[in-house]
Amino acid sequence: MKTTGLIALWLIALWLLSPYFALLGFASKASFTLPSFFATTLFTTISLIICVLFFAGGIGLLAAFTLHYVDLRHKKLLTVLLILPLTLPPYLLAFLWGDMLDGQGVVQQFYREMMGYKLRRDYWFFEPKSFAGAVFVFSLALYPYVFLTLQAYLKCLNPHYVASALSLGANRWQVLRRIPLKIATPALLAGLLMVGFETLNDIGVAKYSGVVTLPMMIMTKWQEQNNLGDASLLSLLIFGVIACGLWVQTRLLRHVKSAKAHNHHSTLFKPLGWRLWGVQSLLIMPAIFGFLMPLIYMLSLLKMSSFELKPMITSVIIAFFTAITALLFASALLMLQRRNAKVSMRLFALSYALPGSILGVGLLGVYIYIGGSWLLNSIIGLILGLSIRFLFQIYEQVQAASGAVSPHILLAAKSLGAKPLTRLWKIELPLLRPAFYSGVILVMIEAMKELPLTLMLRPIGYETLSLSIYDAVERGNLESVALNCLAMCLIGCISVWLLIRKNG
Amino acid sequence: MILKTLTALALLTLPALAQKSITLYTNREQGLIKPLLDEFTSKSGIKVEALYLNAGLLERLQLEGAQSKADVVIVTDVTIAELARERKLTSPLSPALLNTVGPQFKDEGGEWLGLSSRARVVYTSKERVKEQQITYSDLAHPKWKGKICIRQGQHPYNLGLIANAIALWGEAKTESWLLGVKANLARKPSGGDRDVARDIVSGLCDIGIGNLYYVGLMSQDEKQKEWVKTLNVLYPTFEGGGTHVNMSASFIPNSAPNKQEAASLLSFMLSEQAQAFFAQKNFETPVMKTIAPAVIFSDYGTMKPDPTSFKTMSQLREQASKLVEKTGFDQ
Repeated sequence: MKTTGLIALWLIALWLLSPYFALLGFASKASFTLPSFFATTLFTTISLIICVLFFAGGIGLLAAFTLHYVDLRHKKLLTVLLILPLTLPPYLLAFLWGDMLDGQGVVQQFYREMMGYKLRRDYWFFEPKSFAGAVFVFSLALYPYVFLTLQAYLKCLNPHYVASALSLGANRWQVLRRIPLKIATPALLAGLLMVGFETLNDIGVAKYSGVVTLPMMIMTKWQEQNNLGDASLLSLLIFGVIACGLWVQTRLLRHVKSAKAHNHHSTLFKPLGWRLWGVQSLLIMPAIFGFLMPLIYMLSLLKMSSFELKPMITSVIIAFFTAITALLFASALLMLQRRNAKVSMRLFALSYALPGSILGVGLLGVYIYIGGSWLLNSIIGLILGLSIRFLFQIYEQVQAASGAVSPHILLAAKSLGAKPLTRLWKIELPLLRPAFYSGVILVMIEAMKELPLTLMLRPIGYETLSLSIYDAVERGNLESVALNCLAMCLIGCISVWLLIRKNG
Repeated sequence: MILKTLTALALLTLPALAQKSITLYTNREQGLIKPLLDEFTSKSGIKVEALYLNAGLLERLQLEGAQSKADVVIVTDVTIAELARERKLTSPLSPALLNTVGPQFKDEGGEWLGLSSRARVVYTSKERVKEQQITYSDLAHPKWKGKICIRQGQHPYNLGLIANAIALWGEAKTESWLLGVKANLARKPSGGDRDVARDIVSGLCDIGIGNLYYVGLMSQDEKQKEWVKTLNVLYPTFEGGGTHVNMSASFIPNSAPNKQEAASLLSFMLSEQAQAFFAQKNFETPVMKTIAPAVIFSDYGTMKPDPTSFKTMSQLREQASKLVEKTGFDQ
């Protein structure tokens, strides 16, 4: 690769790190004192993440394995349904479930009437505005990350392993435990990582549920105590801890090789009759709670709703260009990774580990510094910001898939005189197309839902679906934008359908 | 093909260029302020390009510096205006504008002024609470144990109230008051003011702290107006003082390219028409005495605002936030 090309790639990598430089600048003014109850907040945050990882991971793992190893009917439909909760922003899910389940919701009103209770405080009932409520919402909203990554990995698993193990006398459970579970560990960890980041960075659900987490503490430092320095420093510290964790994870998994996609399904269990229906019904439960029930509830609100087309179009445009930009960034990092095997380029894609608003203020600093306010007042600034935020999603997909590309093919092309760009264009890109494709769709879904960064970087006159929904949720008047919510679901459904259709 | 279609759609969504336009930075809810901006445009011919920012409004203004396009800023909370003044981001307002409002609603130096205010009141269950008067101190009394609902202490509405308490009682007394209120909570501070009303209706709590204007907004909602019928509103007072009110405020940044047009927007916001809109549609309390509050509130008696200055409360906000942290109110 020519020096100019390499410099261009490093400039892109540097651009991806630029918000951190701005944050370091802010943090240099920190008068750092740990806030009261810091330890409690840290404990609450870690507990929340662990609980969400347990439940979201459990649901995602069970769903992926059941779908792969059990002979079921309508597998494609089940796959689509299981991914659909990903299309709803967690804060919206929290609000909808809160509306359904709290003391004045339909469920408890019916319960009170049936049991003869007069007041909500006269009996025990699951409280949606609580720690458990937050875990419930996050688990439902985020398990598809684990499901998606595991499903993709299981397809890569050579079915002959399973067949050989069975022929050597292992029973089905032993096979399941010894082969796919072990091989799928990196995929499980990658899925869990995204779940962890999403939980860590959320403010909407935590605020609604009354759970004080670290990002809320950071926002309080900044917004209410007028201390951007401490807020930046605290964010960078969290980032540092996460980066170290990822480094350890990469070291631990360095011997695990990615497998080449075979796209085969192995069947270990063939339930019949009521067992088949039982398994299918259980499998569909996460989709019912995470998507179908909130959707039906939203439909019940429709009569009070109005709809504008412009936010929908704006959202699609922003999401599309965000995904394309993130794809370009991911490709640049991939090329750099090929040249520098020792430095993990993952670090450059880690903005996902920062709270959205903090990343936003970092970007504010960068935009002003490099280009004046034109970047701030244009849709380009928002798209660049969102693509930095969601780069991790696409980079992980592409990085995992690139591991499956045999280095011999690339070496052969190189020895035949193919230049780096030709190799990328003619060999790697076609081989990585499924990963790029799913990465692009995932980023589009995420960008459609994104809130904190969009709230800070949106240009004048632009309204998106997520902004209009958030505005209504803040006013406690979701009914007024129920149609916008449905539009968001619809676009999400189309994206998921495209994802499944292309990736099988 | 897809790219072409999307680009064409992007061009369609670009905001139309107006002949005369000003840029407004605001963190007010779009639904509450947009009708007024539209009305201003139809009257003056000046288009208002509003940028609705939830967080980072001041940082954006500060970082943009002289390049900022912001002509005028309207914020939900006067504290942001006071911070802007401290950071020297504001410019002096004309005496004509300042003379429209009373001294309590403007900066002494004439760099910001209030547009509307909101009282922080107590919602009670008509059926279960017989009290017709209450003080803020009463909220810490053990008789309310397990009966109070409130949103998070770190929310600006509550921080304003706590800052007001610090101004009147000092930090030590406010701290024990906060701990007393915390001990009386029926649930952890969460949700919004509407959730407080909702939880009183369901019987989770008997009383709650919320802004008065939500009662008006709820009365306009098909479902929520049924809740309002079961609620009473009391105007709590500080002993020897009045009811805490927080105020939305406005200022013209010193970098504003169109200061004159910005001043005409503020002048419109202080007109009888706009003030009546604040009162009748948003259910806020106008800053102009000549405009009557919404009729719906007449059942609840007359509110006497606490005389503590907005400037003092703004300056105590950081202390209030730290006190909320210290007492673990939200934990």
